[in-house]
Amino acid sequence: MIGTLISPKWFYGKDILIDFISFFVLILVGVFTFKYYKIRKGRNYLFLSLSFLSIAVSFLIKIILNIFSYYIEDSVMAGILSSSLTGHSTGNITTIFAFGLFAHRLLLLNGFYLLYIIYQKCSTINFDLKLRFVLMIYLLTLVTIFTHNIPQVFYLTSMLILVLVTALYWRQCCQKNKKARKNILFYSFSVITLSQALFIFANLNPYAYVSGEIIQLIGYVLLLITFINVLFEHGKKKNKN
Amino acid sequence: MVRKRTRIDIIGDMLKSIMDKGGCIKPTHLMYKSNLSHQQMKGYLEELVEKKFIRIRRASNEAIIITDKGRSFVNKLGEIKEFEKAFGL
Repeated sequence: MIGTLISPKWFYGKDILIDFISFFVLILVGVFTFKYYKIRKGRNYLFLSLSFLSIAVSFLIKIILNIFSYYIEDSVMAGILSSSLTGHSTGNITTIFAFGLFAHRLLLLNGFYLLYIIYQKCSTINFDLKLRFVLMIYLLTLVTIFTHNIPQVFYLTSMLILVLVTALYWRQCCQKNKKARKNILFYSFSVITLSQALFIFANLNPYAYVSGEIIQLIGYVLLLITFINVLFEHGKKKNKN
Repeated sequence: MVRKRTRIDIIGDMLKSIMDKGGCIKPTHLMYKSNLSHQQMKGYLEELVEKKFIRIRRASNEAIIITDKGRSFVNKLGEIKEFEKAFGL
């Protein structure tokens, strides 16, 4: 199997469903944030929207790769074997798959890094920020390319970025305002961070992958709850008026 | 330090002031309520009329009236404010 991570057979399909729910939540929040950006024109709205959409596309690629490796790979491999007998080139599928895996990882890391940029609270997009951004994209691309066969390093990197995001969000939002609504997003970030930590061990123990996927689901459901709360709270205020 | 109001903040404040007055307000009242100079308010009013958020009743008792589009824009801004708070933007 050439899947994104090693999953136990009994978990095939379930992980795709979990990723699809995460994808749906991210697209929903990303599209709404982009709509808000078109009204507010704030840099943070644009970055938040790009971040969620980048992570969503990353999940979509992962879903396609997993569907391919769980359900289609065997028949394609049979085709490859027969075509190798006839002398046709078979390298294309492997190349496409490697590129898909690269795109999935790079988009995920970039999405998390954009979250970090937002909560680092840089007041303006100055030259310094642009340089840092270019440097980080370069480093993240390197991490993605050179850890192709070492997913542990990739998940360690994404976990570290998320630890920073969670810590910054806690310092800037939860400490000042103790409203439970804000804390849900803090828990969401924390739980998604934990899922990345579990993915580090996924190739050593398949159950780490299963736990990571379930915990990731909880993280994105918490993100959805935060978003529903926003609409609900606003609806309540509207009715009061 | 108090954050400087953005253009959208000012438009939101103006529309909210009209809504608070039951959807219809006199120009001078709006000027005081939204903390704007006469010149500034003139510019914003032109923009709001152009965007069909308000209409101006030209009569002996001149008044600014919020439209349905204006009301829904105020609601959208409220939603964005909630989102801003929850996501720490």
